[in-house]
Amino acid sequence: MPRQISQKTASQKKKSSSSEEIQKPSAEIFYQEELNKLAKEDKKLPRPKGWFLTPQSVLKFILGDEEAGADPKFVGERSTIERCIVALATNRGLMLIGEPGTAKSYLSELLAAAISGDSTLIVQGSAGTSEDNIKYSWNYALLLAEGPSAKSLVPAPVYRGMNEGKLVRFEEITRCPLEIQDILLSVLSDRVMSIPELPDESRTLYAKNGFNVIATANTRDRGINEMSAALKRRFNFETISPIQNLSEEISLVQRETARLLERAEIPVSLPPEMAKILVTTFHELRQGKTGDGKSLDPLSSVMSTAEAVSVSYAAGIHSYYYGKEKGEKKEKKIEAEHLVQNLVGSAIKDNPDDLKKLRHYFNHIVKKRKGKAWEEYYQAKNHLL
Amino acid sequence: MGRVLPSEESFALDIEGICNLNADVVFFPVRHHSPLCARLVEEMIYECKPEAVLIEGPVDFNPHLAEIHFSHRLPIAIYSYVRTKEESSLGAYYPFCEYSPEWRALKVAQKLGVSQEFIDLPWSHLAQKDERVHRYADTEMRHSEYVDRLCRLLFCRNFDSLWDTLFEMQQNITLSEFLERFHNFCYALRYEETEIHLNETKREQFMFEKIQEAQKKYKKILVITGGYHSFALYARLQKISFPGTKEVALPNPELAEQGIALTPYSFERLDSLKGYNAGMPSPGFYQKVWENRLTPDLQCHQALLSRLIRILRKKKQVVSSADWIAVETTAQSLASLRGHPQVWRDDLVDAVRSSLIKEEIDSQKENPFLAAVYQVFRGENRGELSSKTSLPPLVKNIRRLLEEHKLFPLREYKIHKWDIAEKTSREKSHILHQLKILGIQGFSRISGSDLTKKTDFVELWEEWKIVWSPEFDSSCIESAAYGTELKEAAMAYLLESSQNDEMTSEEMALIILRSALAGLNEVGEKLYQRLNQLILKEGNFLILSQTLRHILYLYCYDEFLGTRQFPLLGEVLDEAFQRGLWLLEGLGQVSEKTEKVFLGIGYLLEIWDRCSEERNLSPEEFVTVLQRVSTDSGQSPDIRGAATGALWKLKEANSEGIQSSLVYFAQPQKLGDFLTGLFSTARETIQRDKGLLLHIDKALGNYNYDEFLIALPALRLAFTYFTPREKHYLATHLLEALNIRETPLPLEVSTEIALVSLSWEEKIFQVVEKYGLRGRKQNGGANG
Repeated sequence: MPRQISQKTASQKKKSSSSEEIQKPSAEIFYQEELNKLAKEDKKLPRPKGWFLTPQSVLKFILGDEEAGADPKFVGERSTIERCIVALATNRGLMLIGEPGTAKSYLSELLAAAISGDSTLIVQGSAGTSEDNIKYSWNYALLLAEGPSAKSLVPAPVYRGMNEGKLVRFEEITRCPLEIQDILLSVLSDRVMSIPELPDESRTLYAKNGFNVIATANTRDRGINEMSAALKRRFNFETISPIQNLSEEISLVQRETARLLERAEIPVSLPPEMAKILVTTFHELRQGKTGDGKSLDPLSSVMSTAEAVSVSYAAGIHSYYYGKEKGEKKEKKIEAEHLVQNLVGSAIKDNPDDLKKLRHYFNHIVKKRKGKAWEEYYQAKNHLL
Repeated sequence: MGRVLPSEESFALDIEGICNLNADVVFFPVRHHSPLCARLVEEMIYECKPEAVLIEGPVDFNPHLAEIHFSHRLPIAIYSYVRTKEESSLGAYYPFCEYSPEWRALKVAQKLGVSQEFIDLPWSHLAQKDERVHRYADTEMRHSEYVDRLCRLLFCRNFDSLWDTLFEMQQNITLSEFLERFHNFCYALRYEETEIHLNETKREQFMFEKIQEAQKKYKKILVITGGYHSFALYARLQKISFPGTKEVALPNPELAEQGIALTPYSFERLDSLKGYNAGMPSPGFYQKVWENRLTPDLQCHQALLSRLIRILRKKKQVVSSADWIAVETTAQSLASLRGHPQVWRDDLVDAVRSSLIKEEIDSQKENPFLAAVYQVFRGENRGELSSKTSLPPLVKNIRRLLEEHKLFPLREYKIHKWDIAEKTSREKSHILHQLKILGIQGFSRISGSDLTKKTDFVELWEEWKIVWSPEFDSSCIESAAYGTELKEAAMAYLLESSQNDEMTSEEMALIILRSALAGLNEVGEKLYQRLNQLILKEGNFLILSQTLRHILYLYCYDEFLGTRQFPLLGEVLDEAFQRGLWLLEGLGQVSEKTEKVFLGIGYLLEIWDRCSEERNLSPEEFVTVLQRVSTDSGQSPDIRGAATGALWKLKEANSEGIQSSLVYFAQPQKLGDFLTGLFSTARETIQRDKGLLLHIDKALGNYNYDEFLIALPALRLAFTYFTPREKHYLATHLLEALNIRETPLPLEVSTEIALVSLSWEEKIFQVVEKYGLRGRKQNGGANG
């Protein structure tokens, strides 16, 4: 049954804090119009039970579709998204894995918003995640006063997802201890949760149609190898790889930097030639290969698109507050030296080997590149100390 | 559209006309290797009952057409080859598999007694201007603006998946629907083409002339060509104007030799994902589609999936029944999401990817699961020619060459020894090396100058053992697919093996040496290009230093292989030098195999010595890299020593500088290592420098007994770089510098002492050999 995005929750949120004040509105609020339009159009078409949109419309929502008036939101291969959607429509969960900063969480948010109209059922995996954070806990005052009952039960995201037939997002699942991860076993295979404290008739919670789990895990931390085989087989795995196409990545970094700087009300922008240099550096060091086929030692630091954005954002702020005014208009611009300085802090962090590799890259590759911007970039290499 | 058409109306879209099956000349447009086309072309022959079928295929094969109908095992190919006046050999394939429309047409025509003829321009007319060696690859349709646009609209990855979406998956399409749709498709594609290649126009004109000739003999003709050509031929026939239908001249090319023959082929070479320049991906999958054509309800992915699971289980992968079900349901759902009427290639690949692979998929590396899928989709069919087919031209050529040079293998073995600097024996040597490259049995090189190890250069000689082996004939026939002449086949083989992805730059340099030994300098250009690529990819300094050594040899010392003629060799040398510097600096701390690193630095120095002026190598870069290595506090002392020595040799460091760095390395654990490196690269320079000797002496003098013992082993190693005479020389100098009057014992050995020590050594070796502690003797004699 197609549903409207619960206007109540959306408007409630709006009331409590107008979207101006929300630092980062969730996808279903941000794209509410688009979603409702898509839902209206595919109203009569068949879909998996409990889904807000048809699989085709989910695809349109995420990758963009001119006819349906949907903007592209995620840069990636079509077949990747198709596989994700299909996995969620079958009775397996979806596990998104990949390097940090490849927009796994963003993709899971978009999927949840499009399929359930709600992307807020999130369990954040960490070393401290407990069963209570996943299933349910109790309101102890009520529990003591009235005993265990549906009223005194405080539902956690998985409980709510099963009860309401929605997607649950489990972020960084591999950061949880193994026994906590395995709580999902019965939830995913039998689609039931038993609540032994409650009286017989409400002791078992059966998942409603539309419930499923999207988990994310990054391959740098404690890997997926430690995950139990039993849990692994209940998930379909999808690797989200970094953006392969250089020009797509450049425009994404420019767009995101502009958005962040605008929100921070900083009137500086990332010049296209600087964006090109920065993203090329990230791209080459990540892939371990230069554009003309020379192989490099890839860095062990994460050189993701998200990191590139944060470097250029930081460079923007740096140039605004500490940069020199140049040219006739006395403008402040992001310059090569700002990028290089922030490369060290934001991207390379504390790994001395990587710093050495980066210097090596400057000495051999950047040095030979032609063009004013590359030369300035090379000149700024003394910041890499 | 960005282009003005001469006159819009004149390009009349006469689809009705071209689809008319009652016309005297009817056209069937094909996509080569398409099961759908194969099925429909059969239907068309039965329905139209033509008197002759004319097929796009080399016209010079017509005299041998009967051979096609022998009982071969497919896939096989028609192989056409030419040798130009400039002595370069070129060859091209027209491959057939069971589901090739051309093949089906030939078979059905044969069955019904319909005349068959190939009508395409012989490849020899195109060879020099057209490099596509797979003549059924549909290349014309792959690079088209129209196809790209359709792909974007229908979310297809490339022409192959577009073709599948529009045609191949439509199992229920009727002949007339197909003709209409495909003619329309090709018409639009061709209409938007900005320029029709002259070669295509030539071919069409030639085919058109053949059709006209046939019209004089037969009333009803079926013309089977690539869809790209159909409408153009029809337009010529109907005198409609259409892009690329102008008259062109067809001059005869000047060729030294040409020929055409059948040859075995394989699915592996047919697969565009594996072989380069191939037409359709996954031939094994389409084979299944073809086999299932009569039972369209049977989903062909199921058989492939069960085969895949068998293979995976054999490889000890856990694939449970539940996994199987998951792949199946995922594949079905993907097909339905994508609007495919049945589960297709991509659906199955994606389903396996999604539900079986529980780990990160690195797009840069081959994943074993996916490799297994592609293996199943590729199929393993290998062709075999019927025994009635005439011997492949290569076999004849090899026999002729061997007989001419009196090298034909006999049952009794024969040893040939010759000086390769001499011209006739060099020719023989080339032939034998070429046979060795192809793996023809019965020819082994037992000894001679070794160019790879660079030993025994005084005289260039070789010794070969030639004996008949039962595999001689079969190995010749197996190599037939590489060409029709020995030299050409050996070159093709080398080119193919140079495409291996996992090859190192050193292996590639060795291939180049082999090619030079076999006198195959024509492929040099391509092999050097490949070497260049591999050098750029090379990540191991030790391997690269070996590569450097081979390149240096080819560039500087080679006099008789004739490799210096290649301008590219110089560029490769530059690139290898640059890469060497890059890797040297990025080496990281080395604890083992340091002497190999010293050698590598030595080769860099040697290249610098011999080629820096000729090649314009940048001194600045070399020096700065060495400086950075020598001052890198993270690097081990011996490598830093070697870099310092190299700088000294380049006169970029002086004795004083090194003396001051000695202070840094004065700790007993470091001193010996540093000196080892220093001596390895600057052995000569150091002997002329007394100051440094004094400095080392001083450092040693400061050690107490324990410290000296710590320093000793490494110091010993360091001084082994000097010969006894050099050590004597050093000692004399040291004593002089210290103002000590005594001179060291004279370095003279009396004959008696020498004899005693030699006989002592001999005894030791005897004992060692007796207990089997020594390896094989150097001259290849008895085992120790």
